[in-house]
Amino acid sequence: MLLVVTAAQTLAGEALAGEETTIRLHDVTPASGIQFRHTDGSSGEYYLVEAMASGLATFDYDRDGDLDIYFLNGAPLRGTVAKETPRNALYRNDGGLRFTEVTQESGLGDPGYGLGVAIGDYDGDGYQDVYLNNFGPNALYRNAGDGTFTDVTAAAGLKGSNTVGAGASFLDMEGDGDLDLYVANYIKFSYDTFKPSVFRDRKVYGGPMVFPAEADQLFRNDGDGTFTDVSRQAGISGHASWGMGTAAADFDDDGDTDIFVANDSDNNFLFQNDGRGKFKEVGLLMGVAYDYKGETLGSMGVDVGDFNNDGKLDIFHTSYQKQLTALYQNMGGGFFQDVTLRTGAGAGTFQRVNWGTGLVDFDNDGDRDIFFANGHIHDNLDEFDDTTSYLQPNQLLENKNGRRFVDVSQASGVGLRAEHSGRGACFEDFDNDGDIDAVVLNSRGLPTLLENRTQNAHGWIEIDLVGGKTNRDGVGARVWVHTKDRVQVAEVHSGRGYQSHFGSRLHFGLAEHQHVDRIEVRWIGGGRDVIRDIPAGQIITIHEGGRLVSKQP
Amino acid sequence: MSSDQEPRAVAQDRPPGARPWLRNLVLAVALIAVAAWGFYSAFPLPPGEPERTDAAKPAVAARAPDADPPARVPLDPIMPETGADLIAEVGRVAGDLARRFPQNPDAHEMLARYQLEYADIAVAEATWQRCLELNANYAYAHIGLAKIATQRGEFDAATAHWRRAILADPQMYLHQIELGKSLLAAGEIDEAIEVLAGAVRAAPASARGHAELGAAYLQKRDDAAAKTSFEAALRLDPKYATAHFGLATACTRLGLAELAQAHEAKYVEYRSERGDELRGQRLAYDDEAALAEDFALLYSDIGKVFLAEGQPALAEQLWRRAASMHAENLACRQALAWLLMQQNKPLETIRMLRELARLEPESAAYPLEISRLYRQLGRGEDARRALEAFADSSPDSAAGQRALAEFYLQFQNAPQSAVEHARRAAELSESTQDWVLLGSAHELAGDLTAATVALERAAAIAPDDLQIRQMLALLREARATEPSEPDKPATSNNNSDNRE
Repeated sequence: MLLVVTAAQTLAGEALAGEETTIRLHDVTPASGIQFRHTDGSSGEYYLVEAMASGLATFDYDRDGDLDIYFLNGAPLRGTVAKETPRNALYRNDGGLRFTEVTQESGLGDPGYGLGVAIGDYDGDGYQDVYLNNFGPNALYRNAGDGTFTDVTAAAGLKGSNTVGAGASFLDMEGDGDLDLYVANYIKFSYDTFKPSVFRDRKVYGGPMVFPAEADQLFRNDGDGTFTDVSRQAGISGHASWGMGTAAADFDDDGDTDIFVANDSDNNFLFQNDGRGKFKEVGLLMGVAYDYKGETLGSMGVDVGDFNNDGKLDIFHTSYQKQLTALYQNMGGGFFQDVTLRTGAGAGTFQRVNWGTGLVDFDNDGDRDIFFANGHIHDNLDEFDDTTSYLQPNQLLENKNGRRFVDVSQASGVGLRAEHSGRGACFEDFDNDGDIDAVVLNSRGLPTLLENRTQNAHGWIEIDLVGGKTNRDGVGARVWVHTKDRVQVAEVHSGRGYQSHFGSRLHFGLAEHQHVDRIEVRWIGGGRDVIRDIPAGQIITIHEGGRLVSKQP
Repeated sequence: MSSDQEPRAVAQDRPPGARPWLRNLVLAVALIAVAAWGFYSAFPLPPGEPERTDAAKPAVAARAPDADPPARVPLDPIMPETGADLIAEVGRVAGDLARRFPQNPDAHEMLARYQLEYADIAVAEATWQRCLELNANYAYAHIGLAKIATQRGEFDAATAHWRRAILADPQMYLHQIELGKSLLAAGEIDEAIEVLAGAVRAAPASARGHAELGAAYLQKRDDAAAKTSFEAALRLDPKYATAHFGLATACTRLGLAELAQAHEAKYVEYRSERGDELRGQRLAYDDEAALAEDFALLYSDIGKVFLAEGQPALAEQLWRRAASMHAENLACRQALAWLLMQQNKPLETIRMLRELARLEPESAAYPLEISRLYRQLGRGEDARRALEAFADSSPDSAAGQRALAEFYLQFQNAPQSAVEHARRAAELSESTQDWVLLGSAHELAGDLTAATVALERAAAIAPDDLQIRQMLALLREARATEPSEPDKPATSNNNSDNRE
């Protein structure tokens, strides 16, 4: 396998054999206390939904200053008998990359078939709540602030969502200060009409095309703890496709939050917000619907970030086997160009299926690298296709000054050599040491927790935002970090990657700088705060209005 | 009367002045008819595969049967009922072939094709390497290895193999396109443009070549050149969705907003149509039928290797299994028709040709051949009916009309009927060949004026064709010595003069 991977790295013309990197990611799962084991509920009937599970979320549920992990789980599908009911699992971060399972006491052990998750403080009480986009009834869990959660789905008016879910994102679509909810859906599925797909005399997962597409949904937060389905009025429901990952961000830099939906085997959606919660689908017009040749991709996970530090938010999404991943550079005004080939952002992806992804700076050198979790959907793949494998190693593409990406997976430590069937992935500084670690949910297996042990003297800063007039999590707020030679930009997003949630705390690598000249925050609605002269190497909290709270790690 | 006697009978009735050029005409038409079908000269290759080049031909030429060859290929006694059993049978057959003919790269190529799709890719790779040990320029092995490298995402390796495949056949533009795509995927944009431009030069009528070149120009940010390439693709195929997409992108970058929008709208329309089509195909996908289709093709090709190795009986076993496996496979039926003809079994050949005609009703080749075989059997009326039936079902086929004209001219001594069909053929094809044929028919009907007019049309299309000019001169000479108006033959058809 090592030889195959090394050869595959030749994509994009890089002479990658022996490519060096300072990034080091080590698998620390065994010592972490995490014992969650994912199940997809499979029964041998090859229901497509089981190949899509699951996402996960990272957030500070108990507000103790470190980031906890919430794993979604599958559930027994028709024909499967489980000794114990599989449940989602919440792990509390005890510091030092040690975690303790608190599922039972937290009440977050949802038994539904978990696919996607979004985190957001929908009721503005200061504690982040959890929305689950399941196969079957979705669920909203309210964080009571005492370490417990309550299922408020029915009370919130969200009980009607009963589909094959995918990603979900909270966003403040009309700038009214509370978080609305976008819910992507995948396929229309019924056990009764399901016919297994057969390929070369073996049952396999048929692609989404053999199922009708399920339209996505948009729920308006009514500000009283309830939501109203406004999918039709908002211009969403007329665009049914096979939705996967979602990301809500201000792609056209007009101050409101738009929505990108990665669609499987179909054109991606970019819903452009008019600022009042009415959306127009402009994916084709803006250049993100298809790849550079106008072909649809099996788009899976998506992340948003400024890969070349030009001040604009770019889009990266993962894809299926025999396709490249896609990096769309934001050219301004909401227009994008597929720059995958020119930047090498598809390096080593052609023979793999990629899922969870993040545009994050692993080596704190001031530009965003790309990580993605890999793994095929067919567990019987070796019986009919040995160009690839069911279990695959994850990949890391290092950003070289915003111009080229180089596949450094083999050089970045043993943590990236293990093979799993990865799905959702999250990226956080779990040990609060200033660099970004990663956690990957592996289908039918234990997750992978990767500690970042990169050694360098690069500066960093991490920022939590607390909204006042705007939503409490600062979702949709944009932050510029100015150092001597560059300006970096990031936004707070809810729901991203492959049906996952991470990154509520913004992280900036500062390269050789140990000092930030200026931090500027643009809150949803346009309010701005500016903070000057901040020492690097700390986690700070900026409250809307400009109050700064520092916390040394 | 045997069919061989028919041409002589016609020839005896020809006007003396027509003979020199008519003999040439008959020969030319016969050669064109044979070439149009072409199953005598080369068995068809799988769809999408290039014709074999000299370098890719079997290392071992067709040879006499071995003294004591195994009597059968290892087919199951009855057709396997499950896909797994069918896959196993094909594996046995392909392995048996490679063991029988270890020095024949074609035999290993068949095995590698099976291994790539149904067994182990690493083994397929080794098998294609074995082909290259036997013949370093064996293009099919390079193509197979390039495909493996591409599937693995090893674009540099794929590029190297596509280059070798092109060396074996520099004119094969499909290989050039694949090489260009590999280079583009490897980020070698300038070289990709160079290669794809070569592909376009090699096959200027390929819309795909132009569109791939346009995509490479877009990556180069040469938007004007991209626009030109996509426009060329769309001239050849106006419904080429991705060419509309590329053109919309190029126009957007060039500031041609309205044009960009127009092409974007076209892209959406055609993309949607294609999407519906793909979804329909996925919903209708039948695994057993797909396996049967694949394996019928492979058995057809394996049979050709047996034939080349002097084992027609074994080839026939495979072709017959392929025919029963897949009711629409052309390759095995064409091969069987050829073999039956070699075995001097004309009626069985005709039956096979009728199956082929059912599968490809628009092709004139099969009814022509059926007609020829009937003539050989002395069944002139059946021969005529075969051609008439085709002309009735495909009235716009110039080949069908041409065949009938030739038939009436050569075997039925009915130049008036020949004129009718030759005129229709000429109107449909506007080709030199058919105007010459019409001229011949007119001349045989005694209408030298109309014959001259027809040949003048031919000469106008091919002014440099010395043979036509010679024919024309002879005709004019004959007209100059022709009897005066009252003495003209009653069979002439003056009404046709102005039509041509």
